[in-house]
Amino acid sequence: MVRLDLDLKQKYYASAQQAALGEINASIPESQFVALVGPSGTGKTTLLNMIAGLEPSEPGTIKVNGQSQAQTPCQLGYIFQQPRLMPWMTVEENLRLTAPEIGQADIEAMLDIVGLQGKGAEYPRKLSGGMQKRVSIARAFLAKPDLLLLDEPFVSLDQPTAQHLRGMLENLWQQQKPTVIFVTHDLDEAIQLADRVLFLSAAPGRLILDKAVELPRPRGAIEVEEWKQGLLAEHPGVLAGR
Amino acid sequence: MSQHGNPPAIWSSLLWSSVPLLLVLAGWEIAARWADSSNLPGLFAVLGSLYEHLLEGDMLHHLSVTLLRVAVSFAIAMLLGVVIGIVMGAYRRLNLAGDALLVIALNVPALVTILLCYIWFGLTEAAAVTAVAVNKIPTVVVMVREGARIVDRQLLEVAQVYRVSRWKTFFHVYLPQLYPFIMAAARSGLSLIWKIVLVVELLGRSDGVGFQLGTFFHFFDIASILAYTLAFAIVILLIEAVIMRPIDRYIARGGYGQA
Repeated sequence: MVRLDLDLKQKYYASAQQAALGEINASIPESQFVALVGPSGTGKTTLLNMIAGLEPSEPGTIKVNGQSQAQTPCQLGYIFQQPRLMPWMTVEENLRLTAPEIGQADIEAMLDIVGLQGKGAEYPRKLSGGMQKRVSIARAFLAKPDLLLLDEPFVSLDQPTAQHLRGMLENLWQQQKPTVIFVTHDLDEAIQLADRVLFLSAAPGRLILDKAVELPRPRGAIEVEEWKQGLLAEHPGVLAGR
Repeated sequence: MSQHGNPPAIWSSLLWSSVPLLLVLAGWEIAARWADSSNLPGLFAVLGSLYEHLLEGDMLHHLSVTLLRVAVSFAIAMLLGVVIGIVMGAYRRLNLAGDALLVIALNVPALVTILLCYIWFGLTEAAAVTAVAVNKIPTVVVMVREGARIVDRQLLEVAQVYRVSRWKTFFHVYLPQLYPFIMAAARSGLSLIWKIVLVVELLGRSDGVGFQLGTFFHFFDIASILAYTLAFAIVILLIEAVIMRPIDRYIARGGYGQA
């Protein structure tokens, strides 16, 4: 588990005139589940990619346990918007690729947890979108991540499947307790899952509100709705990034 | 049971693929009887010649020599072509630097390369194999380079995030995306290499199918030329059925390159 300190400056892409991301300063303690909410195009995925080391964070800095990312390599899990499974590998081979030291029993146990028992020998193209998403969740948790990044993982799924996967994600997080950064457009989803919600402004995304969600778990739809209405009454423009 | 594994389906596909071949053979026999000339021997005369060369001649020796040359030059061309293709597809500047050379290499006539190799390196086995490989490498480079240009970076990011080793990333994430391109290069390469090897043998070797065809040509032994051609065609069909098609099916089944 890791503590994350973000000190990010306005960032431009070489090819674009508008900034991809604004200033963001936040400290995320170990094992906290943080949701990142903001309008489209505010740089949420860019931020996750910077934290994952897929994009440079300069001119800002990202510190892991007080040290630079390069000095403190931590075990990452990243659940992308698309499952990004290797189509030429079976489910089991996909899981082994990123967690080679994990034994067969652990893989089967994880497949049970995500509801894919008996699907280890299937190729991804034989699975539905929801099943592929489960494989990507299994892949992330089998890596035993210190830091788990999720980029709108349930966005293209039907509501019952998405709700089931949210419950599964919450259970797995409670078992392993990685530090989580969860990007979403869905405020209900953020309130249901997160300890804390960070709201970004319209592009270029900068931090406009940092709100702790002090509701006991598991959180029902009514509590989530009440908490959301209270928040929107207090900060009416927050979802539009104002 | 799948369509391919179904016995009636197998017989049906065998029938459909063998009917045109049988029609050509029948047409050949009819034309030979009608022409009644030693320039166009009939099917049975050619089969007789094939039998003679197989049992009493040294056809197997010459076929195996040619096959060995094909295998060695094919392996060299594929290995170098794949490496150069990947490098050119992955690095824009290297691609720019090498592109003009590649276009020239693609268009230099095979005969020029063969003659130059024999002049520079002598009438040796190494010169023969080099000439064939040099002729094939550019087409492999072009095909693999196109594949390397469209490799799915998102899958490579997965490997990067989960700290998959470079070795494993290359062989399990990167290379499988190129398999369809490598396979296409291999298929077209094999058909090209067969033809070039025969020319190389005709011009500068003292054994192999190409050398034998040259000898038969000097004696106007058309039946023997056709017998060797027939034997060669059978070998190609066998390689297609036993090696190429199973690999093709394996790649299609595994969804390689469908990132």
